[in-house]
Amino acid sequence: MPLSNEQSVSLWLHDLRQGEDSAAGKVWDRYFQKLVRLAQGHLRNSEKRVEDEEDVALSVLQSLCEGAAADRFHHIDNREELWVLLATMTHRKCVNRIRRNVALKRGGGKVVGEADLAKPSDSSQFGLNDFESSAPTAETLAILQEDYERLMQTLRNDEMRTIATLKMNGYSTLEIAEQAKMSERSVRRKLNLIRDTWIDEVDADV
Amino acid sequence: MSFHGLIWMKTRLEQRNQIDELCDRFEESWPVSATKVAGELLQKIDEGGRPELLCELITIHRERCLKSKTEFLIEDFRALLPNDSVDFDQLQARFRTDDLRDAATATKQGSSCLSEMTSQLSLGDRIDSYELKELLGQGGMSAVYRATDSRLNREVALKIVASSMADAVPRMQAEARMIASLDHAHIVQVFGTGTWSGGPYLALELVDGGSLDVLLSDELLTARRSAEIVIDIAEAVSAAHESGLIHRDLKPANVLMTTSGVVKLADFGLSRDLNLQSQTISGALLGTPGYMSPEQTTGSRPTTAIDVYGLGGILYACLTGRPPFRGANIPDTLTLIRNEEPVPVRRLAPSTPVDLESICQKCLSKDPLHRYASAADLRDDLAAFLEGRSVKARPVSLWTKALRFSHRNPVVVSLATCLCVALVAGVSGIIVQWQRAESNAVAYQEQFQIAEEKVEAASALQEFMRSVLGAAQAAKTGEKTDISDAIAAALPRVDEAFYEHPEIEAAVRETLGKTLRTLEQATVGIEQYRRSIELYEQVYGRSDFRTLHAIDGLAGIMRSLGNHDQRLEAIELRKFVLSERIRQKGEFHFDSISAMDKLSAALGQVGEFDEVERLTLKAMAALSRLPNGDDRMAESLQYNLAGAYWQQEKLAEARSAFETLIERMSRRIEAADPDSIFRHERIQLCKSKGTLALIVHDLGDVVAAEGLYRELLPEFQELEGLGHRRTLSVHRRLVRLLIERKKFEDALPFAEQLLQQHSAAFGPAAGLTLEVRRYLVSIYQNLKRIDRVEQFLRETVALTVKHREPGHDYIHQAKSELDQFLANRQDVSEALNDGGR
Repeated sequence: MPLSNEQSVSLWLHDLRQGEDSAAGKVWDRYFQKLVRLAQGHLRNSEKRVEDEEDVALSVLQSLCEGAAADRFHHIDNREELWVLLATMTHRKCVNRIRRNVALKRGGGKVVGEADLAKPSDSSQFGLNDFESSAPTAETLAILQEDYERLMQTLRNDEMRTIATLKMNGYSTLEIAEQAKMSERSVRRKLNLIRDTWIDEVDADV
Repeated sequence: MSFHGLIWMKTRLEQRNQIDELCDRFEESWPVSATKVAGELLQKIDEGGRPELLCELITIHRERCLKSKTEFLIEDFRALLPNDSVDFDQLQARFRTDDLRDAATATKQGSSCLSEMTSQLSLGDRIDSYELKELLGQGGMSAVYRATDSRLNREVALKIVASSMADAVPRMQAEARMIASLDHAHIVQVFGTGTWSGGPYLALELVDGGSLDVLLSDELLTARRSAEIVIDIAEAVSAAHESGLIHRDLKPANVLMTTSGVVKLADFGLSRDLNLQSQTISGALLGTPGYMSPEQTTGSRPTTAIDVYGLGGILYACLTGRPPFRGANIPDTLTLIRNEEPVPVRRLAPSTPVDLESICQKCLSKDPLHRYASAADLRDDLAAFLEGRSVKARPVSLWTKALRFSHRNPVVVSLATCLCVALVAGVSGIIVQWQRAESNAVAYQEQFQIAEEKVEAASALQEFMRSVLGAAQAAKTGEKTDISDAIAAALPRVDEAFYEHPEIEAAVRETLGKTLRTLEQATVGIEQYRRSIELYEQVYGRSDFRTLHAIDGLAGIMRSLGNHDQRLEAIELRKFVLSERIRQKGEFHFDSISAMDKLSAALGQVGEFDEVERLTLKAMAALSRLPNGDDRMAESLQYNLAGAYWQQEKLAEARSAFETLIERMSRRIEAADPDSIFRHERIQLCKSKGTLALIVHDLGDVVAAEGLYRELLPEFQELEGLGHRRTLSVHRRLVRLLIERKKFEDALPFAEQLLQQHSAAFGPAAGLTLEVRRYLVSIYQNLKRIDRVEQFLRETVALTVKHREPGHDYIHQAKSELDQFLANRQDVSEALNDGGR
């Protein structure tokens, strides 16, 4: 594992904020699109099974698909947002799982050499390379949902959770402000607070 | 991340959640008494979180004010936290940046929406009754066509505004109607308004000679032409002001010219609406806020004074070809506007007449109060300039010089220097300067006005001053006696010198009274003040601020130099001034607070300290409600309060009050430009420390008292000199305290130095000197330097014999002290001998 995960997340976020042309941005975009497609497929199937309504309401896949269906992800710069944090957290778990499997195959408990993972990473490259090298799978979606619920639990109240959900659905600050009947300033402040709470959680997770 | 780092992160998140929650509560209750609620919410969080919370609350408040189109005043929030815990300038700068960002977004939206609209239009199309002929120009938010009004067969300029501005339609139409009703020759006429494709449009008078900024990019205008243009624009602005319209965006680009050269003001009140919520950044959008007034950069309430400033900006541009301020980028320019003076016109255009430069500078004053009171006043002064009459604006740099000069110098300024300044600056300068001798911000404002009013009758006074000053110059300059002589010689002449000008005589007598007070000549000074007040009353009435100011001066001299009855009269006078100030300006006005401060001083003089305490607390509360506090006033009040506590022997309160005072004064003095601090302010600070030391000593905290004295002594020595009575008093107190604390080794050098100072200052056998000699005896004894004691006591006897008449008490005293010592020593040595056997 990278020496400092905290550094890895913040660098990853930093790279994403650098604009559309950055390698990190492109990788994220590709990954995100894959995630959306996967979620849409999954949701179509699951709808047939008629999920518990409350479950759907709080579903991360719902958020992802609604936003994609309304084409909201194209208008806003979503990269520095909550999705990245969530996906990073989830993705790490998946990668860890792969590492463990590889390690087991190689014969128990041995520390895995870096070459064993598809382009593994030094600390700053962690997110980028890992996202680049592995596509999300159905398992990813399950963990994503789990992580999403957990991250939502770290927020102070339902209002914060609603704002986080709206943001993940791709609404703009102004739209959220109008919907939540508060100033844009407050929406920005809450989103910053949500992001930092989640970064804290993501760091603690690994 | 380290363990501590993690803990910190958690605490930080907890605090941010707490702040967030309090903000939620603010949003819920908004807009009901927002300031009050903010104040209450601030109490609900640790001190460390308060600045951040306050910034958030202000930002939310501002956003909601803008959205609901109510007025946002940051001043309301200033008093909620101690002065420097929130950097309001930085906050304002952030608002500015936010506005720019919002405006950029709005322009981007508007621009794409406008392109969409205009792409649907081709020449020959009609909008209502207007047939489009030619596209004259297209900006971010609007496009202008030459068009024909088919109903009247008249050519108009049709301005189409982006439909993203649809919100502004009703307001634009209302203002357009008002401008149409003005029907002013120098305002671009509005023929009609309407909406098209969701956005508003305006049918405007077609003015086809180009705009002033285009003209100025080719050539500079003559002084005469510049004045003529600004006169016309000032006419237009003045007419609009009378109808309650403020332009807010005066600049050469908004001044259009007809082909025959008639100037017309465009975009009246309309341009602002093109900028959504951000009222002040239209210039910024076009790339230059260089004409923006200082108060607009901080988002204060718009007043007609910003248009007077804008007119000055246009005049400046006419004469120099550039805006008053031009920075490398927008934030730089805004900083320049707030903090710097524009480059003098005559440095850029040396042929400009001084008077015109002065007019321009007066318009561009940072303080709106120093500008022309109205656009009409500016027009009149420009007209006076064109006709070769004298103008009201005076060369500003000389004012400033005179003020800076008197600011640096002690109470009585050398009269010879006054003469020089008087000759250059004219008589108004000298009045201000003399009055300024007793620094008082409020008085200054009023004196400035007095001086301004006197200019036309100046020659008589100037002549008089010259004769007085001439007399002073003949004598040695700079010494009090010479000034007294000059004034004594001048007094009889005042009677006939101003026969026709009682108001000037009043000002002169008031000035003389003030000068006599500093010379400690009570009787003559009081007489001058009384006659000054009589004259002011005749001319302006008893309630006029000039009369009140003189009455206050009279009370001042009576309080500080008068007998007991006069001190009581001083209280009555100041009570009257206070009641007048409150009646005229209300309790929460600086002048009223100042009057409370002064009344306190008078009350303190006769020992009514409980009254002083009550009044001062009231004044402090009032001061805290003023939008811009005043450090010196706050200190003055704090001093009154501390003194009152002390006099009432409330020692603990007195201690903390003095500590607060000293902390404030030190902070201000350290932060200020050394040149701008009066010497007496430093002395005041030292005196306060001295009093604090006494109080601390009385409270039994000898350690703190010693620290204070040690700190204080070198300060006093530097400020007042080694032998000044205040320096010596501190010095003695330090030595006594060291003896009391049995630190004899420490005390010895201080005591020896002290003796030297006393011998020099009062003589070797003066009472105080002998007292110091006793300190030394006690020190030597305790240090077991018995021989030195004997030698010292014999020396004392010799000194008293030499310097005092035979039989003087001091001689007896010195001799008996020596005898006693010798007897004691006898006893001690006998005892020792006895013990030895």
